Amino acid sequence: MKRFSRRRVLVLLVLTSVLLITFNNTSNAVVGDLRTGFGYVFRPFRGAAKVVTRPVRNMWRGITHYDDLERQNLALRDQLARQAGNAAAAEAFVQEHNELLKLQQLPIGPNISTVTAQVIGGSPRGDQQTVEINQGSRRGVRVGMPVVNGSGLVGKVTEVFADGAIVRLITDPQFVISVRVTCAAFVPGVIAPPTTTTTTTIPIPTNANGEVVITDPTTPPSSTTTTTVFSVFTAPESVVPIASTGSTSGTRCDRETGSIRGRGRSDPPQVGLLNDDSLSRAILVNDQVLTAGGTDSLAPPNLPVGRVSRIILRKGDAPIVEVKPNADLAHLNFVEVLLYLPVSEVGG
Amino acid sequence: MLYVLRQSWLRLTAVALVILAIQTTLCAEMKPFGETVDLMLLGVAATGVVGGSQSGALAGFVFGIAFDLVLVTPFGMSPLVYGLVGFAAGYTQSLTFQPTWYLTSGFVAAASALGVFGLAVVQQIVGPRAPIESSIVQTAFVVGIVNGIFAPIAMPIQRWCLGLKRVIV
Repeated sequence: MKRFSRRRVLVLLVLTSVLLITFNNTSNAVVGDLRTGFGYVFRPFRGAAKVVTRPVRNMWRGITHYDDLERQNLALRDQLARQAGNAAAAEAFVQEHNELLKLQQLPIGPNISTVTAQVIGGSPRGDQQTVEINQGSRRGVRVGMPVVNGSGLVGKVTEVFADGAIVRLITDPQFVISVRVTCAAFVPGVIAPPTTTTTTTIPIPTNANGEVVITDPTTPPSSTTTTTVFSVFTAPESVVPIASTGSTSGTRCDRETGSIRGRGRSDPPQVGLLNDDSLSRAILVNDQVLTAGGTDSLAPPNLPVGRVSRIILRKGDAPIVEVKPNADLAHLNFVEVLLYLPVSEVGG
Repeated sequence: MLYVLRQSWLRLTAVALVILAIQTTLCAEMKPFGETVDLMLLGVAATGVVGGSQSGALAGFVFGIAFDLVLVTPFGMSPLVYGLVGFAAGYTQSLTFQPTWYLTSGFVAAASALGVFGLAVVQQIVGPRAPIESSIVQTAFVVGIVNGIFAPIAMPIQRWCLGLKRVIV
């Protein structure tokens, strides 16, 4: 080592690193295998470190989250006191709420199994937006599978171990998936406010031959049925241009496809739309962004991703749409891995 | 076992693995001011400050390879940046004679902050094109401060790794 001059060491270092980066770009499989192998070797070290550092982590949580816990505790006590006053109403509400929750299940699709996992670790470095989950290849988790929580798409699996996996979040700059933007109300699985109708049925007395028999002029007995109907909310199609220069030929609720790309922790992901046509200009803030699906897509169609938070119009080019993810990525706990593979891979 | 650890290479790798284990567990959860602390940079910068440019660059390369094996960022990015950080930290050794502990801590802090900016710049070149976030200044500041605080602990460890004795005049 001492034979080399300082400048030579620097040149050697840069060249070797550049060689590794080139190697990474040309042959991902080898690097992937290397990472997986190292993951297996390194796992016991991590396990030991987790056990050893647990008291420090607990202490840190105690210091940093004490105020939050106290606030939450007070809010919960308050909530409990309010709910105790009208237990009967709460029971009815819970029943209705549960029914709504069932109906509002994410449109995952009937043939897609899921594996429930818990988030057990965060990003090891600030420039990477990943989480670690506690389910892996033993439960059928594979690289590329989409990960969701109750709010929508969270990310996709990028690395798998026997009992764990790394999930790249949708805010990571390397996360890309095809999506479609659709108007806020036109979302599969979103239920319209229930409509209650009251029907009063007056039975008409008939004889054995089916002839109407008038027996008494007094009011006949009647029965009243109250029906609550939940129906899929469909907004009326309307023309809503967002810019004065925009064409008015586009219609709301038409799908607009593109690809969503993460931009790091502090900047919201962006959707680059595929074409610059009139439909693009019909996109509004708060419109829904859903996965597009398709034979090559890593996620099934219609998974909610987020809502349009900002639209950047560009002259002569398709607009850029900023998306606020539905899922609270900073506070993930339980997630579900969809055991979904694109049609193209299943066929192969 | 102890004989094996006498070799500085192996000691450096062992320490890199230990720091990596702490980085991926403790630092992934403990986020002062919302920023992830980079203890790998601390190890690299401390090696550079106590061992000079060549040792710093070598440590940076080893630490970078180890870190890239658990990250999903482009492979080779961390060895490049960490190697340069180690080299730069080691360069400070030639600028001062018998620096005080707080001066060396300052060097470690500065080198760590430089590393955060370096990672962002290199990611622009080799990784996906994402805008450099405005919060990077805060990240660099927090990483620099935390690494500067822990530098007096890290430097004797890295000195042991390299088999160096502290010279007291």
